[in-house]
Amino acid sequence: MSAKAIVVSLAALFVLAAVGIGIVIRLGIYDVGATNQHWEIVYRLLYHGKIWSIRQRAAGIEPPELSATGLIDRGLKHYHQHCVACHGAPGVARSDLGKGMAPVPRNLVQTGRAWTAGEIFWVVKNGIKMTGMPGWDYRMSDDDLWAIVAAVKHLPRMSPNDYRIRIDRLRNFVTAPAAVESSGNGKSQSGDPARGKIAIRQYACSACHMIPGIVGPTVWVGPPISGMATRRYIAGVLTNTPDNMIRWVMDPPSVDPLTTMPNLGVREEHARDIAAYLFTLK
Amino acid sequence: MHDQTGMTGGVDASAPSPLGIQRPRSSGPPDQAEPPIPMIRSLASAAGSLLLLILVWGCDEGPVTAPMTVENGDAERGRIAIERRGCGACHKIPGIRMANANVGPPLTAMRRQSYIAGILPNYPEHMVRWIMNPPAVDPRTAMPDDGIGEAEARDIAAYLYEANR
Repeated sequence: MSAKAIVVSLAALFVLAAVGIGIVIRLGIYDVGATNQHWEIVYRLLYHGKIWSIRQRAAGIEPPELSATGLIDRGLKHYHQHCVACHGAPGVARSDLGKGMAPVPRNLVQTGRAWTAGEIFWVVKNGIKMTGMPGWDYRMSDDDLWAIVAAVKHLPRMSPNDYRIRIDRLRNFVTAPAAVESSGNGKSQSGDPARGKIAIRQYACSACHMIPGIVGPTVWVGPPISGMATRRYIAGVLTNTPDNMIRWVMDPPSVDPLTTMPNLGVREEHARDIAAYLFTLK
Repeated sequence: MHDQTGMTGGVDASAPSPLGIQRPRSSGPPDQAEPPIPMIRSLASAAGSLLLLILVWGCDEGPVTAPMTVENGDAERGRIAIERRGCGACHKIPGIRMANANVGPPLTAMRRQSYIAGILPNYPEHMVRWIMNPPAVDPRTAMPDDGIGEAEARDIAAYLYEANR
């Protein structure tokens, strides 16, 4: 067999495999239902791909000192409020939300034992695509994220009783709301379109709007946002200026009480970035 | 909420659009590779294109299942009304000459939009109501009351739902 023949047959095999995979996908043969488990090979592939991706990205992250009691307390408060629903805690069952998901949300006791603080930080901050794990970057400051990491690293040391007692104690312990200032937003007066693009995803705008440049579902719940820079009006009620856009994005019902678009709690610096991005759409 | 009488149980999206407006199909067969590095590259690109073709072929959101038939509305009369009224002075409207303005929002894929003006759930009777008198629905809207009567509004609504499905 000549070298050429080998190359040709390998290439042909590659084409066949591609077509085969394409057919499996196109005919909807793979079951996306969460009640039907992944094929072992698919699960392994996705799982290890995820792990390697996280390791790669978390490699350079240097954790601060995480053993301070105050920091762990603050983290546990957040943990009990935001994480338990899906992940559970020592002696605390996850809610129904966290039971029916695929992949199943990890029990974080093992994560706390096995993963580095940097890896946990990266995952909590950025989330993981298609797993149900949201990124908390736009919701929490890095300080609070590190507090959660401290709590997760501490979980393996806690018995159910420890956890219960600690949480009970924390209920009466009012923490001053930390100023939320995630790394995703340097405070600046002028909006940044690149950051706006991230903010648009982090406020789930594309769940309702089709926005050029944002990869997302084909939806017409809100109007398509194409050509926003050249539109005369915002939502048919405000003249289209940057300031008005910021105002609208931050609180649509205050501008037009009849609008279906809700107030999504967009912070001003994020609204400014979002507006900056929308004004790049000619 | 809206008048259900006389509405059909659904929309047959496989029926050809009376306006002959079709969704673009995915591109044709892959390019033939240039001579020097022939086999692998051309086969790989063929495989890639084929995969893409299989994946996106016929891929859309499916038919709109909400009943979007306007009772007593005539799309062709609606098209004429839209041109005569000059709706295109503010709106981009598929299939209407010169309708390419960006004052109001583009009226593309109107039957797929969930809301009218971000306010009314998008059903035929609401659309008719909106077209007849927008400020009566939302006093803050920039869209004026153009004194459009009900019969004409029905025709216009019918056109908007037919155009660019």
